[in-house]
Amino acid sequence: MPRPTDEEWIGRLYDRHGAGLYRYASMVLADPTGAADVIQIVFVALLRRRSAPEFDERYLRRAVRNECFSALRKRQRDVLAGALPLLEAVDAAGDRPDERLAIEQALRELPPDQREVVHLKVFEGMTFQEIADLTDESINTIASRYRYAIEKLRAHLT
Amino acid sequence: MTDDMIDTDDPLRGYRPAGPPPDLRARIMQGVEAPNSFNVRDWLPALATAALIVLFYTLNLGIRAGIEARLSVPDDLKPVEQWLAPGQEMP
Repeated sequence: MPRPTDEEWIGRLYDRHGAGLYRYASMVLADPTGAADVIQIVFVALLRRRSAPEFDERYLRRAVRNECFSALRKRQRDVLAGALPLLEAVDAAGDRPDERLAIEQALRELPPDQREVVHLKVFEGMTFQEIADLTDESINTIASRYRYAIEKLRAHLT
Repeated sequence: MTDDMIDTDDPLRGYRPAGPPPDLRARIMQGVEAPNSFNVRDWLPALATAALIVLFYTLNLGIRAGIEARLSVPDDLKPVEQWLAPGQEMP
């Protein structure tokens, strides 16, 4: 079987993991435009390491995570929020824009590490142990971040 | 602390993060194609370095050839003994 070209290889990798990683980056950064930049940087950089045996989801997520927090450190100014939506309704027919925008605003006011835990727990269904492994933090730290985040979201939305 | 200890009835129910913009895949593919195309500007530092190496190597060869020409002994130079008159001793 012939070796796929770089374009085919990256295309398949993006089709398999791109959307999920974009959602993760978007939530960590609270910035969909910045998330797209991060995903582009990570995928193009993969070409330089193509000789590695396989890029699993864990490797890609760590690469995206590193790039996100690197972008947050470099960020000099507040991002222009609102150009692209951070959230979408699971059921498009039930979308209530006012409520969605309020939740987006509440999420943007959370620290990035709390947004990250909320995303991984709520939207990706990961356990605290899995999140702790990914982030190299203790399970108690992760659980605390999640609890604080949910409390802040509730306080902001009531 | 386990997952069971936290109430997951969160205010985010009914929502999920929005998906990537439709053009993101195309942007990535453009970025993938770019490294494969030859761009003189990208290679300019390397080309300049290579040109300098060739220049210095050539100059070095010329200088070395000049020095060797000055220091070398001509093949037709007679041995010192042949310059002495018959019966004359070396001083």
